[in-house]
Amino acid sequence: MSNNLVYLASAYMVFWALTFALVFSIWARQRRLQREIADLAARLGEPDDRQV
Amino acid sequence: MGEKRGVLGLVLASAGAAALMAALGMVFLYAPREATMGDVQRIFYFHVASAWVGFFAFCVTFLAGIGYLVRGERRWDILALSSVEIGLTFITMTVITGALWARPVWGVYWTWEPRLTISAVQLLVYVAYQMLRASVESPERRARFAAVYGIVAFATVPLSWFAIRWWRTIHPDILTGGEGMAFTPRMSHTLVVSLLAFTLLYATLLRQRIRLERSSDALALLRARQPTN
Repeated sequence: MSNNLVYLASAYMVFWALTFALVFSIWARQRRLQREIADLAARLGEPDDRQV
Repeated sequence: MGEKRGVLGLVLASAGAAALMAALGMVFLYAPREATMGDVQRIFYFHVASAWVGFFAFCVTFLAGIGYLVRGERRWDILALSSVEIGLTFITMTVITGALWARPVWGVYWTWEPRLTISAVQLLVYVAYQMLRASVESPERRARFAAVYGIVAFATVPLSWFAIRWWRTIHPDILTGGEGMAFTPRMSHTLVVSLLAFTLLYATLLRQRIRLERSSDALALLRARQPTN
C-alpha cells in the first residue's frame, strides 16, 4: 500500500500543475494585451484609462 | 466602480485560496484513512471537486449560450467561452487524477467503462468547441455557432452523471459511497469543503478570464480606430 502514495502525490501534483498553468496562461495573456493596449493608445494619443 | 470590482476580486481570490488550503489540510489531516483503499482514496476529494467544477462550468456555458441566442449580447458569448476554458482544464484534471486513482484500485489506469468513456468523449467535445471558435472568422457567426454547440455539448454532462446509474459500471457513486468504500461523516465534511473551495476557485478564474476577453475586445476596438496608412 505504501507504493500507492506515489499515485496520491502525483494526483495532487497534477492538480497544482494544471491550476498554475491556467492561472499563468491567463496572467501572461492579460499582460501582453495590456501592453499592446497601452502602446496603441499612446500611438493614437489617447489616455489609457480602459477599466477591464 | 473599478475599485469596487478590484476589492471584490481580491476578496474572492483570498476566500478561494483560504478554502483551498483548508480543504488540503482536511484531506490530509482531518479525513480518516479509508479502510479498503488506504491513503490513495484521498485523491477522491479533489477528483470529485474538479469534476463538479467541470460540470458546473459547462452548465454556465449552456446557460450563456441560451442567453446569447435570446439577447445577442457579446457578454453572454464572453461568459460561455471563458467558462469552457476553465471547464476543460478541470475535466482534464478529473480524467488524469481518476486514472491515478484507478491504477492501484482497479489495477489499470484506464478501462472503457461507461463513465470513463463519456468523460473522454466530453473532453473531446469541448476541445472541438475551441476548434470551432478558432475556425469561424466572423465574430457574430462564431458566437452564434458556439452558443448552439455549447447548448448541444451540455448533453455530455447529464449523460456522464447518470452513466453510473443507467449502465453497469465499476465507477464508484459519490452519493452512495460506492462498493467497498466506507463513507464517514469526516469524509463528507472534507468533500463539502473541497467542493466549496473549488467553486470559489472557479469563480476567481472565471472573473480573470472574462477580464482577459474584455481586454481583447478593447484592443480590437483600438486597432479598428488606427489609421490604415
